[in-house]
Amino acid sequence: MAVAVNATAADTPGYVRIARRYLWCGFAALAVGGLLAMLIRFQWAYPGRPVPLWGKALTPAGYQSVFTLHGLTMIFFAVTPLLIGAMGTLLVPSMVGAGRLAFPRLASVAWWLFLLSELTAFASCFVELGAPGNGWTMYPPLSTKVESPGPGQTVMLVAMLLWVVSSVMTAVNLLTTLIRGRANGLGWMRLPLTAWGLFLTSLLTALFLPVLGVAAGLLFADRELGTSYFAARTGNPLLYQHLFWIFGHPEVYILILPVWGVVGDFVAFFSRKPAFWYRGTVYAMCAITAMSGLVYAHHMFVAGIGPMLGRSFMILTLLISLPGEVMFLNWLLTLWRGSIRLDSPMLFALGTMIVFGIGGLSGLYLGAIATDIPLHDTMFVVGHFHLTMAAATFLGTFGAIYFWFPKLYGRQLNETLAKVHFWLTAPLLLLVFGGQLLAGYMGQPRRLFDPYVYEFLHRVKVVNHGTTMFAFVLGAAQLVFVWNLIATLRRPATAVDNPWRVGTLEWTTRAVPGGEAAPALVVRRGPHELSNPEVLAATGRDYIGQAE
Amino acid sequence: MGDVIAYRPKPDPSQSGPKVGMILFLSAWGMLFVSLFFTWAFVRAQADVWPPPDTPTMPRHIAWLATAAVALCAAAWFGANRLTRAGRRQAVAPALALAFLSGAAFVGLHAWAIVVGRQIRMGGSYGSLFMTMLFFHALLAATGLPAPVVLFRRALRGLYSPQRHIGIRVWGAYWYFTAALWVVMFGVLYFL
Ligand SMILES: [Cu+2]
Repeated sequence: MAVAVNATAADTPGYVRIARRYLWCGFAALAVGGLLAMLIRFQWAYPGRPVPLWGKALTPAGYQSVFTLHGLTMIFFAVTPLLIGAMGTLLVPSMVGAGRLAFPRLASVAWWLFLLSELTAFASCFVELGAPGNGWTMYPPLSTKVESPGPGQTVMLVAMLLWVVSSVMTAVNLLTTLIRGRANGLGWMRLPLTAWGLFLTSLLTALFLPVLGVAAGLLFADRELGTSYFAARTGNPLLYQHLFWIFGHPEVYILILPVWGVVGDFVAFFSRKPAFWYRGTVYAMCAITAMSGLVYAHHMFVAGIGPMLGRSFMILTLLISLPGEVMFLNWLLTLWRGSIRLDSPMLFALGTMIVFGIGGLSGLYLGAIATDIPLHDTMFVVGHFHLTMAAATFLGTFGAIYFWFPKLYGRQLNETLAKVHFWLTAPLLLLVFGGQLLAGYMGQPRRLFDPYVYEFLHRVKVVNHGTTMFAFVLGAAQLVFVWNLIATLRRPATAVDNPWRVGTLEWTTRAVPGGEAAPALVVRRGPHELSNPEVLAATGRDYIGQAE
Repeated sequence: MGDVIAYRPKPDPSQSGPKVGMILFLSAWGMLFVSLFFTWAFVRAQADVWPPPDTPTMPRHIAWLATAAVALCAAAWFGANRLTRAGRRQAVAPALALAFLSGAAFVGLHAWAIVVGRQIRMGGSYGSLFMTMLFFHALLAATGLPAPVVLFRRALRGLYSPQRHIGIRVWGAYWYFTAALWVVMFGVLYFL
């Protein structure tokens, strides 16, 4: 029964092929977004100096477009396709034993729409006056026709709308597969935590991306159809902020929930023991999901909302950290007295815990009104959301890629290079984003073209210089992964069936190529049945397949 | 242990998958309209007088016609479901044809209302809200239009039985949702 199969060219199921396409879209956007980040860092270290290899200095307008595109690219076209597009499409059908998506054709349509959206977004660079430059939040009045007369903003809104449609399609597909495609006996409380993360992420996607659709649609109408929703007198710019953050706060959970799931599974797998209070972790993730729509106005504490509204949202925001702490403690207690193996996915999971822990703690200062008011709109905010949304998702995503790469390409990435990649990346992520926290604490507002026009920011120069150097090394270190990827793909497919020796269905069952899972598949236990003495006595292994 | 519940028979995935998928799809549409009603309430709360003075108002007869069209459409879907379940195969295709025609008429009436709104220069926040909400509702209805065509052709080929007709059930639900939402929107836009 416990025969695993890794994807080979001949019998690659359709969902694996779609997952691969998302993977490459994501890598491409990650490279573009990363280079844009390097440009921003260069600007903060050497404002006005010509950019190496390019020969020209950034203009203020060009700089605005650079940081806007960096944010949009990373959130919508790098993290989303890597985590939900690639990992979600790959893992959901195989983890539930369905061997296929609920709606295979819908998945294909969604991918084409996604590609169209990504290309449209990049096309906004090539129109008159260039790409939009209002930040990824696209707040009016900056994003109205008066302040952003070029067509770039409109093109970007079209890209957003396409992205919303594509992402909702993918979410409906993954959810239906999870709800209806689970093998016999695979109850909800036997799902791997990764599948739980993907389930909750898809739920939030299906419910809250339409709100972004409305925000982008109304902004489009204001720009092109003569409406005035977000104009000062006939409408209200605050309305956009409400709509955007009703979507925007759940969006941060959309990006991080799959990573939490991955971490929850990895700490169990690589400690060789069952996850501590599995149900508690599931309930905590569900509680966070349920609350995620109720905290959004913490992004608007200084936008002029009433004190009563502000305080309610502050309390809810601080409350949402409680289930987060339960989940975090469960991870720690899973590690407690485990036989910890520091394979590359585990290193990345531990790294995720550290950067997310620090990023989460820095969020408490921004969730409380009294401390948010001075820190608002400083680099402290940038450091906070990069630690949580960038560093944590980056490490979690790469941990997942190293772990499940054999499922995608039938080959295992080189483990030594993976560890080198980790040890170069994780500490530098902390230094780069820690540097941003520090610069913000010293008073540097975010998004400044040249911070040093302000006398009081001259003392931040040394921090910014150091951060930029770390960022350059961090960027260069990613070549280790590129090298690993190319070298691995050039080798013949030689992956071991179950390299990490775990029991989840994607490693221990054989799906019929292109079809459904083996009909006789019956799941008998949870995902983390590790180091069970009875199993050890009976089979000589410290793990057992979920359906064995 | 635990294996006892493992053998609980699962519903046929080819029938229950589309049902779950449609519930989720309609939830996404639902949130889109919740955001639009939120926008409506936000703008409405800001105005001293509603509709703002000297804003031309939309004639109601188009909306009444649209209500009739969508009611007919929902009735046609209800009929298609009933007829399939009763095994009266030859009557299913005409019911679906009626569902398509009345649905298309409904989309057409929304488009007409938007054209009229532009002609009478319904501007400002009131007019914008009116036309935007009509547009999104027309989009919802138009998204549901290819379904009766596809189902019609399948019905002609005799692919539906009293037991297996999930396509008719889920797309019927889609149009019930569209109709119910229109009733709410009609009330909000024309009477509040
Ligand atoms: Cu938030």
